[in-house]
Amino acid sequence: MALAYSHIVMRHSRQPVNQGRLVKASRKFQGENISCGDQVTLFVKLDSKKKITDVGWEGEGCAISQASTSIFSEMIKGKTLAQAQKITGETLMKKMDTQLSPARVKCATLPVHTLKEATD
Amino acid sequence: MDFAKIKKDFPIFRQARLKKPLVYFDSAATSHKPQSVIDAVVDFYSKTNANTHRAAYELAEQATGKFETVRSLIADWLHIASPDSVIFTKGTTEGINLVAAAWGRNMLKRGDTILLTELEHHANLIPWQLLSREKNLKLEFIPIDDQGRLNLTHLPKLLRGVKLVAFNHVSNALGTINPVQTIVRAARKAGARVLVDGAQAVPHLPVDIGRIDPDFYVFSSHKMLGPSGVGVLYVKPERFEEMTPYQGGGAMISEVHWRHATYQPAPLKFEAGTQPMAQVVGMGAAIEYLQSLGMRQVELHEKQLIRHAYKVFSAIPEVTIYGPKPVDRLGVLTFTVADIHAHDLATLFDEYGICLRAGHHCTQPLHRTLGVTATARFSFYVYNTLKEIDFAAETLKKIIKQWHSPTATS
Repeated sequence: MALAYSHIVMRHSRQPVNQGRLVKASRKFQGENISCGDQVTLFVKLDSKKKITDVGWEGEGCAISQASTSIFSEMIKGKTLAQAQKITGETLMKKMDTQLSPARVKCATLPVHTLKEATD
Repeated sequence: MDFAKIKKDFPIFRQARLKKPLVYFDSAATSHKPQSVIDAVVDFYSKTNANTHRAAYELAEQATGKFETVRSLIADWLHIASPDSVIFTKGTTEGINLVAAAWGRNMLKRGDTILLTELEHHANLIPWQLLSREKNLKLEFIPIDDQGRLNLTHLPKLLRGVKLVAFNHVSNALGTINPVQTIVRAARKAGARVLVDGAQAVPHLPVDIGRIDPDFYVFSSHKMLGPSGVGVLYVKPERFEEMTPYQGGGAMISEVHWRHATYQPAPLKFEAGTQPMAQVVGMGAAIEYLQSLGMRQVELHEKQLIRHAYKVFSAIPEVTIYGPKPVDRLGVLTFTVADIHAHDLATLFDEYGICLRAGHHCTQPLHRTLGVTATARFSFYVYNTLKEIDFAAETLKKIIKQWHSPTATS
């Protein structure tokens, strides 16, 4: 299969982690790729030191955007919100072990931009 | 006509860098160019390049001659009474924007209604949204039925008080062939003007603008084997007197003073500035190429492709096809595959050298009506073959199998 769909991408695509809305979320972040319709909502629970103690997410879209959100949710757990917001798209894609065409990089980086830009 | 041999006329399919044969199923977005079109463009720059309609030296006259010959060729090809009704534009989008600005802004008044359809491309929606904001117009839409065909049951009622009907001849998203004659006749009876977006029709079937008799008809060169950056707007002669200039500049004027000017008659009045000369000449070569195939033959070839594609893809249980049965559609197959998003499909097909479009195909509201955010789309043209369709179907079966196999990854 295409290099885009690595082991880890397919694993998270089939069995996503942290999926679902967090009922008592401290913050909610919503993002969308307008051009292709991929949507993601990230929920984080923060402790008094702004550390992310729990993550949840809901989304709709291609396998790349949904797997990347699942992987990203694992990456940010335990970090402070400020630290999590510093994670770059490159770092995430490295973790995903994926090779994407320029048109599809935005699918993978959707959760990164969501956490950075769109705030409730 | 032997369509199996057509590929050799298109250099893009013969590139040495291709690792596998290029299966190009995205001609509704843009078509490839035969060598004769590429040669015509190169030839113009090598032998006849000079600005048209300006200078009196021989080279410029040759350039003007070549340019104007294409205008006449287009008129002959589409059965347009006078070449003066043929205006060159940047493409379909600009043609529609031109009508909105030069005719709509002048002739439509607060409270007037424009009737569109649920099949429209953004290019035949946004210009009217912009104009309706500016002039306080109403937009109404002819609905589609469950097969993606226009539901004309209530057309006479929908046409009440309508000043302009604008619709596509063939849908870019579903391939639906619309009953253009019926709609034009009904619109005329209701006293409405008609704009037909022929971007997906002129490349694919014989079009007789004289017989359709719309007020405006638009299409693009790049979707019909010609160069990008040029298109055509047909204007019915009576409409010209209702139109103000679209852009001002050189070539569209007659006499210029510091504070006022007089203008050329149509079509030059609507062709301000230097035109895409080489592209127009290339478009002429594209028309000649299509004429050599015969538009009836082109249509039959595409009909054969869509019938076959519809059959083989319907037979794959995971596939859902959108739009009408082959009898009512041209060479466009729009579909989704269970559990595989359209964008993933596009990437996966690309691995096999198959190019298809994934997304909303510039028809977001239509996709909302269909209840899907993204679909995959194959769109065929003269260089496509039944064999390629079989290959795509076999490839899709392989993709589906791999996608669901727990061990399969890169």
